[in-house]
Amino acid sequence: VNEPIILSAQHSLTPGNYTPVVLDSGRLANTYRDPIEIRELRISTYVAHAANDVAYGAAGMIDFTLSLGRHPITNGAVPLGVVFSPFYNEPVETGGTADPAATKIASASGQRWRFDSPFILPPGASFGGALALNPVYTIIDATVSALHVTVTAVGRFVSGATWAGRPQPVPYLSAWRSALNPGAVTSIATPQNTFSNVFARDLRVHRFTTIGYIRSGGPQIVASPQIAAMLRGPSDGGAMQDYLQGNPLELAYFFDHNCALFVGRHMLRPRQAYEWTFFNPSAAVGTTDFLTLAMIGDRPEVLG
Amino acid sequence: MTKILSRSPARVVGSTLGKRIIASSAPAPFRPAPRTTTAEPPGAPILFSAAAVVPSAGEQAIPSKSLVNYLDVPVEIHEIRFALRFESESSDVAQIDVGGLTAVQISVGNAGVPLTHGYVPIWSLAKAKRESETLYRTWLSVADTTFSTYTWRPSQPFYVPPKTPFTVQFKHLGLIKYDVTATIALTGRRCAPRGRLSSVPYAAAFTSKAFAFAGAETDSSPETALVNATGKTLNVDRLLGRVGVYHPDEPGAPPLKAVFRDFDEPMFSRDALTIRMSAGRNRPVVRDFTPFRAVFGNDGQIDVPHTLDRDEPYMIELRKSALTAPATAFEYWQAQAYVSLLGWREVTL
Repeated sequence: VNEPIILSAQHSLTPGNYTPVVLDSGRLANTYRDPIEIRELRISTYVAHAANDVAYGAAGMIDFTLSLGRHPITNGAVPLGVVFSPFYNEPVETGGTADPAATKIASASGQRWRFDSPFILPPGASFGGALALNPVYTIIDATVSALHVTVTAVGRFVSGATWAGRPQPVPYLSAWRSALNPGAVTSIATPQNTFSNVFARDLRVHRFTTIGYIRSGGPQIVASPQIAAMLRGPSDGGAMQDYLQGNPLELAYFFDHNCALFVGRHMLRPRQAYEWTFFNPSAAVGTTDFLTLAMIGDRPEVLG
Repeated sequence: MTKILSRSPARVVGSTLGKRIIASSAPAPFRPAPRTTTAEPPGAPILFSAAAVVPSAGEQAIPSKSLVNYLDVPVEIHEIRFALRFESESSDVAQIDVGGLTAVQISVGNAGVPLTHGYVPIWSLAKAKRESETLYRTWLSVADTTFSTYTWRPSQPFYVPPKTPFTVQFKHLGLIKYDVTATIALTGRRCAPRGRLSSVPYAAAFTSKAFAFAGAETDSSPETALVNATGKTLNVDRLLGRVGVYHPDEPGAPPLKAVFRDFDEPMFSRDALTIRMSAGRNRPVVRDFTPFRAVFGNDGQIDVPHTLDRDEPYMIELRKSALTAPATAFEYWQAQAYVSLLGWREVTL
């Protein structure tokens, strides 16, 4: 019963159409008798003919929402690229019929989110959600062909009903994306409700990740010493209250070369929140078109 | 009164590099000076290695009894490493992932307990493009050298009693005309005796036919390929899937450049090549045809530990859809799918 099982659904996103495409839940459903322990999620993209912009950074052009039955996994629509920091997935790959003169590039990228805590997909349950081109895509060459997106859940069958009635970890991620060209302002603060615990129970936070996107260069690690950031911890005495003692710190000190900030697993209590402020984003003018930031964790839920 | 402390007697510490046994036709290796082997404490690192020059399209075994735990104490092997190298007469090859062109067959002990189910391509033993594999291409003064390394890292240390020999045979799959110098290294550490029960690694592999660029084609694995032929329940660490892309004439390069790698050539690996897979003969793993790279990811693995009953196979079905060549000449691309299972089982050596 512990054999691997892979669920996948394939979708196409058409340039110019920003209406979310609903995930094929039927293909992402546990139609078997045994529960499935989900260990990782992959989202891969393929573009047959792309402008350079998309070829190097298709993951930055897509937002997605994901839920496990009635339990949200994402806090609304989140940018695909930031969820899967380079540390946890494969680098964006490009290749094929590269012809810079014609700017027609076949591009493939792969993103992998390997869950810190595998979770249960009960029999009859399915993943829900949607994929959409985000408004950044308006900057892309209109001649770009459709983006083919494959969503894949990798897991294994597990036996019995040991999960039933018991709280199981369900992943949660919340993400923020700046406006285009953030260098036009001197500082940017994330909204107060983006990195908050919206649940009635503790949220276990694993890490933050950050990444920036530029139109012709794809994802860029923004842990630049030129940009500073400040993280304010939970106001009522959480683990991060005194983090950095309220002083801005260069991003390079926050995030490692894989764009990840590991703060150690800790609990964020209900209604507690983190607030990030980026200072001096103008240092990135001309290189970064937008910044993204994500908080990744999980919380217990009773499934079924 | 000043007391003069006597110095402690000297003690041999540090690692002992194991024997490096090289086939007679191989280049002279670095040969470390022999050191005392029995004075090492448990836990001291060891490395045993051997090498052979494998002729193009031929086979070559390492010399009999050349790869053996020659120590008087048992060891546990943590990694099996491979280094593959060839030197061309000129720069007429490029970007060769040599592990896709060279296979290995390994067994352990005098009874020949297999670590591989027949020949297994060496790159099917290591995850793709990650810490377990590196590729080099260096320019030497005389020849153009391509050099690849791979690491097979089982989840369980592999206990090897004293004097246990390994039998290793390499096979050159013949896509390039140059001989390959293949080195195998077993790395691990000394350990305390604990009987003869060992977690012996096991690998089995399936390599598809070569899919041409243009036409629609299918292929499937026989029951005898990706099978647990150990006679015991197999603990599977992971399944690996890679796409080898072969191009005899690299675009934009002088003629006769050969390319072989699992570069994620999108038309094959993302869209055109799909896979369906079952465990046993009908238990679905991938129920519907799904892009190959979506199933295995860009690092080429399904990292889901599980067990597989004796004689049970994984069955693979592949579909490659028809492709239209773009303006740039890519008609000569061919691709092969490589799928393997890696695990271990308990064996008394």
